[in-house]
Amino acid sequence: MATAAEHPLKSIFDRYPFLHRLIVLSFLIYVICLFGLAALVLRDGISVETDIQAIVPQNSDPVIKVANHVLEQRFGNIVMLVLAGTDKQKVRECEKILREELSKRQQLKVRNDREIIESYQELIKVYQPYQFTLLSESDRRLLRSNRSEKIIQAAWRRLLSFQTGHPVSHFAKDPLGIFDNYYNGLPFMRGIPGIDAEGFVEVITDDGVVSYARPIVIEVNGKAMDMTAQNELVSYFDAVQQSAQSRYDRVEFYRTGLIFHAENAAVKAKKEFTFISLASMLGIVLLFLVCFASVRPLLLSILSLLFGFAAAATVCCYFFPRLHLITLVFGASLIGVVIDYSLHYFSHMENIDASDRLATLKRIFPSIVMGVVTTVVGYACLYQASLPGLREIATFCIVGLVSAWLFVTCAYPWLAGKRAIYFPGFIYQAAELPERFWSKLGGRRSLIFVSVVFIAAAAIWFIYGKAENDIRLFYKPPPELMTQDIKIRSMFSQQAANQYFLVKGVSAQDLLQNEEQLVNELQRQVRSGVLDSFTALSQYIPSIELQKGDYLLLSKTLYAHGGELEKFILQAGIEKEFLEIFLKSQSLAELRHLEPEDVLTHMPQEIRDLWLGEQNGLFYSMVFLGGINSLEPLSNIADNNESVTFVDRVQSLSELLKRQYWQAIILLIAGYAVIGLIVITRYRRIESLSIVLVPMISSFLLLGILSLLSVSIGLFHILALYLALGLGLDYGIFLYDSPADRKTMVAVMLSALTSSLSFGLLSLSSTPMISAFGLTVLGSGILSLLLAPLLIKAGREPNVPVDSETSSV
Amino acid sequence: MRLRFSVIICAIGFFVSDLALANDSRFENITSKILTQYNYIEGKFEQERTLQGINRVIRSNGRFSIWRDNGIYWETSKPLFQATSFSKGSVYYWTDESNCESVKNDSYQISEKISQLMLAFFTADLKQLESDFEVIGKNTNKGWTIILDPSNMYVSKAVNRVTISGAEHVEKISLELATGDHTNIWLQVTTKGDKPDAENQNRILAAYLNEYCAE
Repeated sequence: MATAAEHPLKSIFDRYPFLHRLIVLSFLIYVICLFGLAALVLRDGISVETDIQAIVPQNSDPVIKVANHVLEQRFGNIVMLVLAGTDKQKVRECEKILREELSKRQQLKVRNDREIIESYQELIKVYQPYQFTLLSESDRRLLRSNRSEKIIQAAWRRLLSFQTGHPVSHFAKDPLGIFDNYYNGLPFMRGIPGIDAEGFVEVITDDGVVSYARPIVIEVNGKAMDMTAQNELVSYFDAVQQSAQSRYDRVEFYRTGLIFHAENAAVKAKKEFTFISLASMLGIVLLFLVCFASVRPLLLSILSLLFGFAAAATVCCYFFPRLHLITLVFGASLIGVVIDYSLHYFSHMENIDASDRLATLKRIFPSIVMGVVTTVVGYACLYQASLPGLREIATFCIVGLVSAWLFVTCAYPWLAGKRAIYFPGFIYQAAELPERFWSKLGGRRSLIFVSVVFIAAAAIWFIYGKAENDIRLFYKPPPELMTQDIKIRSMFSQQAANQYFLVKGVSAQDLLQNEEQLVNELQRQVRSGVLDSFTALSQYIPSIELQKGDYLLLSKTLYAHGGELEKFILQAGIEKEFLEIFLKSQSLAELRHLEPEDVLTHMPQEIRDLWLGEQNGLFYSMVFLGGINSLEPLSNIADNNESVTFVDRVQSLSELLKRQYWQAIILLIAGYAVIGLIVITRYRRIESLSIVLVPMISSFLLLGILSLLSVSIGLFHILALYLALGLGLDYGIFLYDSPADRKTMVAVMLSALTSSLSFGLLSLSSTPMISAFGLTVLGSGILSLLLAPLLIKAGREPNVPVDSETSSV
Repeated sequence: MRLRFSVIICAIGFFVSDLALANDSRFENITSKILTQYNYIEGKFEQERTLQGINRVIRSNGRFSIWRDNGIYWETSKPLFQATSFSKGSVYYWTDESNCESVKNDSYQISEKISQLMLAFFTADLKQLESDFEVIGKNTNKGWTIILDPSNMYVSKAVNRVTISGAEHVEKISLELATGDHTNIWLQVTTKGDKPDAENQNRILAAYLNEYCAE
């Protein structure tokens, strides 16, 4: 039977006296490197990322990455304020005041209807030279179906009726209004569905009251804002809104924009970081004062914590683009884990003489080595999930742990003093409580009871457990922001931020032709109510093939000699020279075609964004979608068209998380198997598997309890079980190696208490993934602490009736 | 919000006179006379258009019917038949004497707005109309003249100025369009009364009743 005395690490410093010096030397080099890194980090400035998207996995397809980036740029810096009221005039007055106020702030660009209209007027000049190759969809349909009389009727209306002019073009340049129809038919000229001619949307409340809503769209300059700038801006919006609201009490305000969510998440995360850090520290201070009744252990422990935390922050700041606030929140839980090494050290301190400073370290070295290895392995498992946020968290925690471990190993022998520390009696009694509990219950009966509960819990999880793996794991918007988002979405058909089509072609023209096919299909989907609208580049730049066809169609019908135009001109009594000049300019335009480069630079940004250009030898564009009511038909379009990809970021993320969820479960099972083999190899007894049973049974029990409480189990619960495995193994190994050591029991209990405190606080986080992680580690940690004495004792002494024993210590 | 300028202008001829009258108390008297004395008026009009790049004036004429709170029917007879009905939030074009169709606007609300504006003129709903123009009014020996400069940017992209003149009724409307085209319309009221006859009722309300008109 393996005992603590036989532990190979126990005498390692005696066998290799230089080893500790080597570790100390490495520690010093490490500290120097950290200082170097810190200098570099401070030189570049520390910036904390608050954008929740930074921790969400990105698509691996490089073109989709580019497209997503475009989309993020497009939506990331837009704020929409909506004013609504029953009196249009009041809403308009309030809007005017708000616009004036918002325009004063340099950071903001308030989208102005006048500028938009003027930019569209300017675009007429860009399109005009190509007017003979451009046909509106309705005119094309009429000409193809030989119903040109409709176009002629409209031309007469233009000519005779007092109500119409030719705002797009002069009569002389476009007598039948063909170009007028084309330009006015462009999607941006058709207006936003649901908005009336004064720019209001009619909203009917639940009480049946009709009110009118007006949007103000604002661009926030500079996406990557730090927390302070974000806070300032949101406070500014609050102040402007309150000021306007006080003057127009009957006008209601709604707002939406990523900045509000980012600010909300950042403020919450900052509060949580502060709360978790302070509460953990307070708990540990109290624990140390009660247990050790001395300031030195407390100060040293805090020093080791600070060193671990500073090292982790420095390394992450250097190796990751920006330190995410969520990492800091998660990192706060390190306090409860890192403190273990100090706890073990001081728990095992005895009176030593100056000649053997390493005496305590020698005693605890196997435990803290195993402790750091198992916990690091637990955190390292987070790397398996290809989530950028988790990688940063894992790096932070591993660096923090190893740094604190090094600090304890290297600095404590010199700084910790030479006098033994004795715990108060009640601490020992508390540590022995679980074992006494099982003894009282009857060891064998306890084992049967635990086994039954374990099987039941596993069955409950398998049968009733619900898996949930979607974007909600990363961010849960607060109800007040969600309500406003939903309200605004119900008023205005907004462009989908997470779904779009990606179209490709071997050339720009091939791309446009492919897009035209997609546009035809999307028009059918709009008619059948699958979506409200869409925006495609080919709606603004027809392919040359289509332009050639349209030119030919016009030449053969309206503009043919003796055609409808000629009849119209003659009937209107206009001189024939005019006709000749017009038709000559038409024939000269045969080879003049509108191409992307002619018009793209003049287009509004929202349309330029659609063009992704050449990527890896192919040409790409995006088709934006608005008011999606059903995703499946859109997905089906892409399934039947090789040149089209339907990108659904929410769905992709859910699928990725689901895949990783099952991978994590399989890997966890494999991990248990490997660890089981290692334990058997190390202890050469099948009963030693009880060490592995501690975290395993705890994990199943926890999953069963969570399932009973209708908590959905997600990827982060499973990933947390890796850490739970590490912590549970620690408890098992310590107890297995030192069965009669009361101090080990105390150390294990204190270690479990500090971990539970930190992860318990983490479970209060408003970020679902952090909360899931905290809850899982907390629950399984407590269960491991409770079960470890029973299982380890049963494993160490299988032939001794457990219920006949009393406490062995 | 993007208006179809071409459609917007159709409202101008009708509501400008009301705005002008709001400028002066003497106008208000005339307004009240026109607007409240009769529920229904009809008459004839002559129109001349001068188009940029065309060395010929395009002349047309026809008739109109205006029924307060209900709608308007505007019909060009020469050189060929063209007619439009504005009623209760709709604009309909007549394709011949007995058939009409809805204005093909992607945004239905534009038609509604135009229709509302024109009805607002005849119901003296000045508040609704005032927001689109700056109004300068003056009395002349024969009556009054009103100059309307668009304050609404959408209207200003289509029209530079509208001038209305008249005495007991609006007699002439001049439109200077942003494209440089000019339109002059002379109106002559021939019938005044409480309500139109059955045929004109049908003309005005055809769209609303949806009897003749296709959506």
